[in-house]
Formats: sequence, structure tokens, C-alpha cells
Amino acid sequence: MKVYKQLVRTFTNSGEMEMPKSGKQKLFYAIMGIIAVCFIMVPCCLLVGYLSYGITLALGDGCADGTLFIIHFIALFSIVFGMNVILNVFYFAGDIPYILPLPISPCKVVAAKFTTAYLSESVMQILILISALVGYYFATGIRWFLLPFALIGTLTLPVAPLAYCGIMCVLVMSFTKLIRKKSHARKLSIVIFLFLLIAALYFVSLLRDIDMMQFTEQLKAGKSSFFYAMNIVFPTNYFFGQMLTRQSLMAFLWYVLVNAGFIGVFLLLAQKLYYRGVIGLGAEGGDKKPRTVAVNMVKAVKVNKPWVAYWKKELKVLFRTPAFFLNCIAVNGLWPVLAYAIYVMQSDSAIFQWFYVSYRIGNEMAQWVVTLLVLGVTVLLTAANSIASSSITREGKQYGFMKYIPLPYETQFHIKAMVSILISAVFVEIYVVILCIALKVSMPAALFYIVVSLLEVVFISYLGLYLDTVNPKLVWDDELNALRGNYNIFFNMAYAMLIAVIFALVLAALYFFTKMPLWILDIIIIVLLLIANKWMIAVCLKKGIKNLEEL
Amino acid sequence: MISFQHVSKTFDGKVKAVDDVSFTVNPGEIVGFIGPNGSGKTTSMKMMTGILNPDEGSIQIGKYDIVKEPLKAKQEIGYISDNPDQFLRLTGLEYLNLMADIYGIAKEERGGRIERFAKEFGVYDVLHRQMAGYSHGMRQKMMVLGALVHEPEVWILDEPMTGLDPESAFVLKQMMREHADKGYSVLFSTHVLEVAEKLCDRVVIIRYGKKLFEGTLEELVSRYHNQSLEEIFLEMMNHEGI
Repeated sequence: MKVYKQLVRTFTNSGEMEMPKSGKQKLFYAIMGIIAVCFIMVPCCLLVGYLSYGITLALGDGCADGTLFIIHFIALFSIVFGMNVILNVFYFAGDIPYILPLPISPCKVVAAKFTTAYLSESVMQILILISALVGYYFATGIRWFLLPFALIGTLTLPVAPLAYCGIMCVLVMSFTKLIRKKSHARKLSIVIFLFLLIAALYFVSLLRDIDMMQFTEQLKAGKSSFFYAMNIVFPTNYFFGQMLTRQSLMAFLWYVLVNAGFIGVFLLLAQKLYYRGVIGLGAEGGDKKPRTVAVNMVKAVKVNKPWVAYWKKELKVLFRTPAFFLNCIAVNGLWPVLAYAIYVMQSDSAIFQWFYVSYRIGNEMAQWVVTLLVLGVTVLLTAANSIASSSITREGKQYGFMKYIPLPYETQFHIKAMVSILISAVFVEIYVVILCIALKVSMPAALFYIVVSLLEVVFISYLGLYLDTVNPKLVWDDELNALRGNYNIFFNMAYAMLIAVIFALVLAALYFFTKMPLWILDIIIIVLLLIANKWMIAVCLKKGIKNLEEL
Repeated sequence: MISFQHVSKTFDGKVKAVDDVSFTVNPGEIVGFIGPNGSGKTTSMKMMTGILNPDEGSIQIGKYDIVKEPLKAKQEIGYISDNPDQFLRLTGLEYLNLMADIYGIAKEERGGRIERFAKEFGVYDVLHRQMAGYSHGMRQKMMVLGALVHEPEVWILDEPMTGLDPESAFVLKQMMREHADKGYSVLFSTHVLEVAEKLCDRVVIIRYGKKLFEGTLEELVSRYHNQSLEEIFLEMMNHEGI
């Protein structure tokens, strides 16, 4: 137990981001933290709590299926993201060469790594789950003696999905003798991520049979195939729901037992298979191309301008590093899952149909909502992919390269921002175009949405880059570690959302108080975004470069 | 030429990593930068290359002040950092090309240079592989090649021999000598006193950020009554300056 605790402490400390200890940076981070809490955590928690409260009230009889719905959804996504984290922490972490020679059983190493992953990855999940529980409590109440168990249950709900990831990883990676090269195994992690994304899409598609207008009746009748499938996949969630619905301590005991079963199976497999998998991976592996390949390549070298070479370097690092590729590029593909989920749940609803018709007949309010939707999706996608907000962080310990090469900082900053702009814009515009096609938007309106989203992508990219210069996470031993626990990414999202909310409120005030035609408002939006971009780029270049010089 | 005059650097307002250090690396000279771990060697080298800004003092690289004309000064420098684990997702050739592009090397010169250097260091056959698959020593060789591909006048090498096999270390030492003989400057940090003894025209010894000695090894040995270099070094590290 002592060794396990020591390992947990070591892994946790080595993955943490160093925070500024004094001065302006500390104040800046404190402000950013408050913004993040107010504009990400609190809204998310309130929304989830209210959803849980509303559905529970509608279901009546203390039925916890509304809360369970949220729990299932979170479990589904924690598997999609958890798999990548677990795979990296268990098999690709920089500490592995130092751990392997120590006389520690694989079971203890894996348990410590699992605990560290649980502690670092589950904070937001637990906050949301607690909000769902609070919503349920206010709607129907929980017997006093069950409250501590309900709380323990909420804190441990993320364990089973992570244990699933652990079991799958240990099983798959026990065949590393066949894979051999680490580089191949890393590519395998991308395939697994995509597979899980498709699986999540399938489970979400099961929601098609839920008519949101008659959601409560569907749940009461127990006809939802989504619930049926998810209760089997996540029995811990099911027993937790039963504990709330029946106010039963016995269900809680079952919950504990099933959780213990998951952990037991996982640790047993780890004890048998973990070292086999890790040792089987060996080195990164080389390329067996013949010598002539190198000879021909040297002969065929191409000359690029310095900024083109730097641009290519940035793209190669992003696309070739599996952790960066998954978290910065492939993650953009997650949005279709969410969009699809909303679509399958809402497409037949009266409000959706009303909105569609209203937009088609030129209702100003509906058009206004679409503009806000475009602005909101652009903010979320650009900030969430963390390309800009990890620009300096990705350099890691080699950040000195940025400073000793004879390439102006301005040029390097513009290139880093452009990488984020290009990749984010591609994905944002895909969604904008799909939205325009779905709503049969006119050509001028479509052009407006495209221009507005592009301008916003530019703003968020320079904002993210600037934020990452304040206190980049430069000390990391594997690439996923650079992104995990990186507050700059979180702050970029919070800051972007705050600005988007202020922007939307200003526009709403203009619209409601002046009753000006929408086309004038559209021009105002573009002008405001142009001014904001000019200001943000100037701040990024002036203060961001100063921050870099002081690193 | 490197002129490092009255340079100081303090971290977090508390730790004085470099304290009023002055020395010069003249054209045609190889100067060894010697000191124990944490003595301020890497901090000094980072200030010379523009990675860190000095709090006080001036640093001249050739004709240019690194603070006032950083881009021109950087163009003159070939720098090997103490960490060879860089750009591991690039192939060796991509890395060398990146460096050659950034320093603006023409195509006619770069192909030949890459081929010659890569063959001399025994990495020609692996240039097409990603550096993630290289051993530590091979990565170090690539860092050496990347720093020298633009044939800079001033070489600033932070522990360049670490991880190199004897053959490559020999090649690098030979290249350093040839470079100095052409009238250019080489400053390199090392812990290996034998290397300094055989290679350096002069040495600069620092401890706790303060310069303890600057001069030829003969001068150093004569001051310490003909003790061995190792004994002198240990004595210097255990006592205040000389």
C-alpha cells in the first residue's frame, strides 16, 4: 500500500502544470480561474442540474431515469476519451523506462497509474454528476441515511468506464509482440479512438426512438433501447439509478460489488498482461527502407523560405504526433456526434419544426438564433481543439528553438496562429455549410455565416496563442501530458465563451432596443469582429512576444 | 568572436545564476567552459544565443549585440543545446532541411553539406527515419549536424560530446579544431577535463555563477604548482576563487 501511495503521489506531481507563484501572472491566472469557473463549470453544472430536476419531476414517483440518462451519456463519452488517456498513461508515458526496472508488481504500477488518471480526468465529470444528483434531490428528495452513499456513488461513477478502458487496453496491448513498434501502437490508438467514436454514434442513434415531447412516457414505459443497451454496458450506472429510484441500500451494495468486480478483473488482467504488453512494445522502431532511399532523398532536397519551413514543421508535428493528432485534430470530429445526438433527439420535435418553418419564412428571431448558433459553434470548436492554446506548450523543453533561430517572433507567432486558423476553419466551415444546406439558407446569408465564422476563428486562435504565452506547460515527458491538465486550454475556452456571451448580449441589446434591420446588424457584427481581431493580433504580438522573451 | 562582458542573470529575483561574468572567445580560438552542475554554464550559453535575456551586461556575437540585433547575431551562431530530444516526429533529413531553410542555405550547398556531415557522423543511412526511432547518441549527432549545417562562424556547444560514440566525438573535435584554424570561434561546455586539456586554447571556469579562472591550461597548472588538472578542478570547487 505504501508503494502504491508513493507511486500515485509521484505520477500526480509529475503530470501537474507548474503555476505562477507570484506577480502579475499569478493574478492573471486567478482571474482566468474565476472566469473558467463562472463560464464553464457553473453553466454546465446548472444546466445538468436543471435537466435532471426537470425530467425527475416529470417522471414522478422518484424515478431516477432522468439522472441515469445523464450518467449514461457521460459514461459513454468518458470511454471515448478515457481510452486514449489510459493507453497513453499505461503504455507510452515517459516514466515507463524508469518504472520497469523497479521491483514493483505490475498490479501496483497499474493501480497507481489508474488512480492518477481517475483523479486527473474525473474532476469535471464528478462536478456534473453531483449537479445531476442535486437536481434529483431537489425534485424528489433522498432519504437521509442514503445521502452519504449517494455521494460516494457519485464520486465513484467514473471508475467503471475507466476500468473498461483499462481492461480493453491491457487486452489489446498484450498482443504488442505482433505490433512490435511503438509507432504502430500509437497509430493503433487513433484507430481505437475512431472505433469508439463510431460506437458512441451508434448508441446515440438508439435515442432516435425517443420523442422528446413524450420523453417521460417513453421512459416510464421502459421502451428506450438506448437505456436498455446502456444498462447492460454500464451495470454500475443501472444499480446507482436503482438505489435512487427505490431508495435502496441493497442496490448500493450491488453497485459497490459490481464496481469491485470491474476493478478486480482489471487488476487481475493487468497483473498477468501489463508487463508483457509494455515490454513487447520495445523501442519506437525504425524504417526498413533501403539505403538508396536516404541517398535519393538527400539528392531531392527542396529549398523553402524560412517561414514555409517553419509552417511545415508545425503541421508535421501536429499530424504525426498521435496525442496531438487525436486531441487537436481528430477531436474536431466529435462535434458531428453531438450535433447528430441533438438532431436525432430534436428533429421531430414541435419546437424544431417551428424553428425550421420560421427560418424558411424569414422570421428575424429565427435568423438571429442561427447567427448566434454559428458564433457559438465556432467559439466552442476553435477553443476546444486546443491547437492555438497549446502552441507554445507543444514546443516543450525545446522551446529554446523558437528563441535561438533567426526567424522573427512575429513570423513564428503568425505561423502558429495560422495553423490553428487553417485546421479549425476547415472543420468549422464543414458545419456551417451543413447547417446552411439543412436550413436551405440563401447564398448571401451563407456567405455571411462563413465570413463571420472565419473572423471568429482568427480571434480565438490569436487569443489562445496569447494565453499560452503567459505560462506554457513546457515540462512534460510525453505528448499527451502536454495537453492533459493544461489550464491554458481550459482558460481559452472560458475566455472565448465569456467574450462570445458579451458579444451576443451587445448584439441582442442593439437588436431589441433599436429594432434595426438584420442586414445592418450583420454589417455591425463583421465590423466589430474585424476591430476585435485587429486588437487581439496586436495584443498577441506585443504582450505575447514579451511573455516569450521572459520565459 | 564572442564578447561576454559583465553579464548577470537572476531567476525569480532570488537565485543569481550568473554574477558579473566577463570573458572573450577570440577568432581562431577554442574555449572550454568548465564548471560543476548548476554553475551557470547553460544559463550563460542561453544568454549568448538569445534564449534568455541578460539582466545586466552586454553580449557581442561577431559584430552584433545579441540583445540589440538578435536576428543578425543569431544568423552567426551554431548552437547545440543540452537536450537532443527535439523534433522527434521529423525525419533526420527533414530536421536538417528545416535548419538549412531557416538559415537560408542554397540548394547547391546544402545537399553536399548534409551528405558530407551525415557520412562523417555515420547517420547517412538513417536520414529518412523519424528521429523518435534514433538512439540518444544518434539524436545528439543530428543536433550537431543541425547546428553546423549553415556553417556558422561562432559555435556555441553545450556539452556536445554527451552521448557521442568515440568515433563521432573524434570527428567533432577535429571539426572544432579545423573551424578554429579557419579563424572562427568555438565555445563549448564540458565536464570532461581530458577533452578540455587536449582541445582548448583557453578555459573559463565558473562556480555558483561567478568566474573563477580564465586563461590557458598552462597558466592554470602553474598556479597550482603542477598538480593534475583533476586535482586543481576539485580544489577550485572546494575553495573560494583564486
